[in-house]
Amino acid sequence: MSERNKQEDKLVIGGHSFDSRFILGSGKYSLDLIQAAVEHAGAQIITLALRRANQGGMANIMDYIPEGVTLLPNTSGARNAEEAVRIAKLSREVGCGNFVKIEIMRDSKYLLPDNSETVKATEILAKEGFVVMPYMYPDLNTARDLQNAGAAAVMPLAAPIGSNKGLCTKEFIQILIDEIDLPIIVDAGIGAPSQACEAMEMGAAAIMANTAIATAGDIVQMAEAFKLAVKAGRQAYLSGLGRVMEKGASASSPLTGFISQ
Amino acid sequence: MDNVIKEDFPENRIDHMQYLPGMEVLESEIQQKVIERMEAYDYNKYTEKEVREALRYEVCTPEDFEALLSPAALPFLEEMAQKAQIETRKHFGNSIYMFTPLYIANYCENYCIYCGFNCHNKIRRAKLEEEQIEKEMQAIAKTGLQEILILTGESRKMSDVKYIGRACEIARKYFKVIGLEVYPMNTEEYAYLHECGADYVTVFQETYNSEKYETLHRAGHKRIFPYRINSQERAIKGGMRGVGFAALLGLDDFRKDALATGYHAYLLQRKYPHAEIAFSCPRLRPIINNDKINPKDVHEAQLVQVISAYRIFMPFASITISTRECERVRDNVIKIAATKISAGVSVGIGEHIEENDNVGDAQFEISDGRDVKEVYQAIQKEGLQPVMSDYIYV
Amino acid sequence: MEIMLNGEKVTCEEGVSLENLLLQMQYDKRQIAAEVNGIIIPKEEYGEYIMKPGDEIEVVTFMGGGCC
Repeated sequence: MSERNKQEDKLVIGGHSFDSRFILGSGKYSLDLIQAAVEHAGAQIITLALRRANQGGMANIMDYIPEGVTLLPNTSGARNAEEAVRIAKLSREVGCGNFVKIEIMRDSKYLLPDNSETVKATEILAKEGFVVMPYMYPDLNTARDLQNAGAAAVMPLAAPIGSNKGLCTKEFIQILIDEIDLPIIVDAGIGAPSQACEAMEMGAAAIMANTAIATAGDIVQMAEAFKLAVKAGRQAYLSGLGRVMEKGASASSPLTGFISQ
Repeated sequence: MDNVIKEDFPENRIDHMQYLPGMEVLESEIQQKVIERMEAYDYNKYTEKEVREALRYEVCTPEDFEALLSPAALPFLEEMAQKAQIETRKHFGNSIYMFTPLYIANYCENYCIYCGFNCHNKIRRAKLEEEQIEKEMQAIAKTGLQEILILTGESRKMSDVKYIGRACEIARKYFKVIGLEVYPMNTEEYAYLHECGADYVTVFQETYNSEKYETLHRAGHKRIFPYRINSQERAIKGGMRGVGFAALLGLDDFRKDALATGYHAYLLQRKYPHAEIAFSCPRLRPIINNDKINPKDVHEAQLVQVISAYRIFMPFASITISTRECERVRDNVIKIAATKISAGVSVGIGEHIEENDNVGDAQFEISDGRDVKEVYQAIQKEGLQPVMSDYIYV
Repeated sequence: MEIMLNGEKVTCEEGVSLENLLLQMQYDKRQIAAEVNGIIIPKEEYGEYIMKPGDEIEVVTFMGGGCC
């Protein structure tokens, strides 16, 4: 499987390349833990949300993120493509690059992404020069639409956000990995390093996690555990760990006995 | 022979890579990707290790496909056939689809040196009139078949798009599935034929090696290599449901041609995920009694290797086994990977009805002359299910 | 005169630029983006934009956020 054995193993998103395949979310934990978490996670990309700014020179998360880390603002709070586009443009205006993770939710109970609005927003933002990373429900047709719309990666969910339930959508994520010529980054629902490792073994390009780390007993230790799991999974994938065929045994009567020269 | 053919001299041939006036130029990256991969394919570098790995995985990558087509895979032919059989049954169950080809004209403007229809061959040429087409189709429909493949020689003059369209319209009255194997045409012409009732288009590329292609296809529009290689994409853009691919194995290096055929289909399917993909596997048979074994000859084992590799690489594709192959080979290949088989085949013009005196000669000799009933029973004997069509027109 | 800043009424002097208003409110220009009446104002134009009565300003910045 030499296609699985690339010498230069980099994660390439929209022409930018990264050594780390673990994307860290920055929500739900205190600012002073962020630096240690980023460092122990070995993360080169961190997600952020955009909110109204408080007056009066309050502490800002940007002061806590180590230099050289790529900021990936998300569009959380957007309920449709138009709102996502507005949030993305404001995020870019803050002045930290042109990456954006599209998150559009019309459902406040499960926070499931709205695939069709996500495709619309992807198309608009890709045309405006953003590196677009859409969060989506793992559906092959949507993934193809996202690819055609100019997405730089596709971020299917493993399980409902924050659920820590792991790879509930495994079969469908595998289909995206097999069929889509973009990095497939598993996002949402990954609750334990073992689950991150499993997704990487399947051929996912990267893992994004937040809640699993933010709700751990020791945030910094858990960040490192994820880093190691992602690395192990990637290495296993590159080493040629395959899925087992459902039926391996040979039939008793040979199929090629008829051949004559 | 005193009549000299001017295109037998290379300096008299037109540039085979330049489109002719009237040929639609399709901006597509597929041709380049296929040719690059084929040229880079060094099948001797593969060993047992890569072949074993390719057989172990459930998903077959283009790299795995290369390993399966390599000489190193030949000792694993039984394992390949077993895996191909599992994949075939997974996607098709026990169904084997039946059809028959109908040659409606054998006029041809091309000079392809290996073909019986070529324009310099002195054969009886014929073109069926509408009423004759209808009679032939009635005769075929009576045998119970519901799928027909309409073929012509490649002459735009003698068999224009309107004429082929008319044949499709007649076919719609008698059949549920209509395929075409005619000269390549532009997107809007495919769209027209689709409207007339055709749903599938097959174009044999013969060989993907353009230099070899040039020496074999010396005159006529078929000589234009890029126009032919982009046919399937134009057909899909024209609204056809599916497209068929084939290299005539043995014309050039069959391993490279099989790789190019499979990869061509693979790229098209990825670009147009709704397109249905089909393979045919014609081969030039090696000359028997030749003591020197040519490693590039396509013996039965190599044929089974290619067919099994196609199946493993594209488990969902339809694979047709030609009547150029004998009964023994055909009945065994449907157990492994082929899902479509022709029956009651006549490759001449106007031979399905007896009182017809407008007959034309055949393109090649068939090896399996069994009629529909005989093939039907042979399929059942193997524990498989003959299917005439499972298609609903929408 | 009165303007709206992040949804709240704020009083400011006539003729003040967006640049100076944000400075008075102790925003760190490097960490924010600003919209006036729904239109993003590029940072380099903050000095040129003179506030008008009733302007609606949104000032946003990043905060922690991940998959929700």
